[in-house]
Amino acid sequence: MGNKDIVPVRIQDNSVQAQYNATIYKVDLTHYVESNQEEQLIITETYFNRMSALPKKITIFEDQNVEIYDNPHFFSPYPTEKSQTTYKLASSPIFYTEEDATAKGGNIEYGPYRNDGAFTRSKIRLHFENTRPFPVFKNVTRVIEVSHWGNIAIEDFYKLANEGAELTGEYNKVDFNKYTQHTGKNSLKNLKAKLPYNSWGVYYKDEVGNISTSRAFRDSASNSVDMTIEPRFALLGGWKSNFYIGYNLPAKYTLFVEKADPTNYYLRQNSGLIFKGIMAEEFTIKVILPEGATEINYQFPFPLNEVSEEKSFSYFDFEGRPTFVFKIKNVVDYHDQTFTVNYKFSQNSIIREPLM
Amino acid sequence: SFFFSSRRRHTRCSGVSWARRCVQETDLKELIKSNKVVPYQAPVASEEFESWALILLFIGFCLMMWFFIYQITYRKVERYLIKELTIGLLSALFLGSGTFFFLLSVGLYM
Repeated sequence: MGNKDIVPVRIQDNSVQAQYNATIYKVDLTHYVESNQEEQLIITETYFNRMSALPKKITIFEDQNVEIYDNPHFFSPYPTEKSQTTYKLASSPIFYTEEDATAKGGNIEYGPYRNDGAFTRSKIRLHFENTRPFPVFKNVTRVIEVSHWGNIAIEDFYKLANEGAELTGEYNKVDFNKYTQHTGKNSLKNLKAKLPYNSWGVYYKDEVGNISTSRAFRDSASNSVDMTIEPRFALLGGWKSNFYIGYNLPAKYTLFVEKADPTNYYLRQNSGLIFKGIMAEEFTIKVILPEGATEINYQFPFPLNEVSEEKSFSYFDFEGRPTFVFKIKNVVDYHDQTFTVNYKFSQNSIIREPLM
Repeated sequence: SFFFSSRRRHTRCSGVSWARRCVQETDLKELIKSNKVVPYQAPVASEEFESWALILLFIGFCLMMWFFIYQITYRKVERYLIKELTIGLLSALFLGSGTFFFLLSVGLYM
């Protein structure tokens, strides 16, 4: 369908849901498809929590193996003349369901299936080696503070967990250290983040204090600040770690004012995580606007789970700064878009601050 | 772990129970392109924070010194309350705003 992405719309169909345990999505095609004509569609689906570690607990010397269940038929409300599913694994699997399967090293092909009816399904199981850590953010809270003296201060709080196979047995520095590559292979040692290109004053800290094991590099080629962080300790399976990452943005890149009405401001910010490829189970965005901001409106490119308003108190505040709290659940890379907050604010009221 | 779809701007406003008022994202882009909306400029540019801080603090300290000298050199009966109050107030004004701009120049935005 050309280079254009189309977002499917979820349809509520209770009979289909009850009978096939399926959710219907409707896609509007960009143009009519005449009878006996063909059209090509590329459908991308993202799943989380599909792979589970098996065995669930491993010692520090063992490798992590995961299993996954899937339906190799093309599951759709329409009949399918021919379908084929290929599972691409890093290496040959430990186990795969043999029915209709052809294994070529790490690629397992199921099919080709001919003349499948609507909602055809069967169950296959794959069990294979995957020695990578499974980082998940259990909770991410972002605070965006807008100052009309020309700066946006952002601080993120992360609760990180490694949800791979849990570590059981002994952990010691003799078996697991930076010189032994063959132990604790599923440990989470570092994470990569992309901050906006104009970020300054970046810091990485936790409750104890600053964490010095981090690197940041302003890359004009990728138009971002590439940051690599290493937690204080490598996260073995089942371990958790909390940390803060903060940075500032000059206001001129994300805050806009209407020419005709200089009291009308637009704030544009990213709605996704700075860590790509990692899911956050809950993402809370708090936008703190200067004291005296009124008629606040917001617009997100996707539905929110919860919105609330509160007051934050900071320097020179009397009645508090209007704060909007947006909560999104299960944030993935799809949410890496921008959102807008629009408010009215009288610029003259900021002169009150130096005078105080 | 995941493979992700590329992002897509939501332009339709129908059935918005989740947006307070539909300020279309593409509208903001168009507003910027058509120059109806411009980047925000702070009343004082960030490069000038240090200069403002220095000048205001300098004037403030001068006034403060004048105040102290005034207190020391003249006897109580010869001093004028109005003059004391004026100089005190002025120096506080300058020192206060000077400190404010100093904090701004170090990166503490209020």
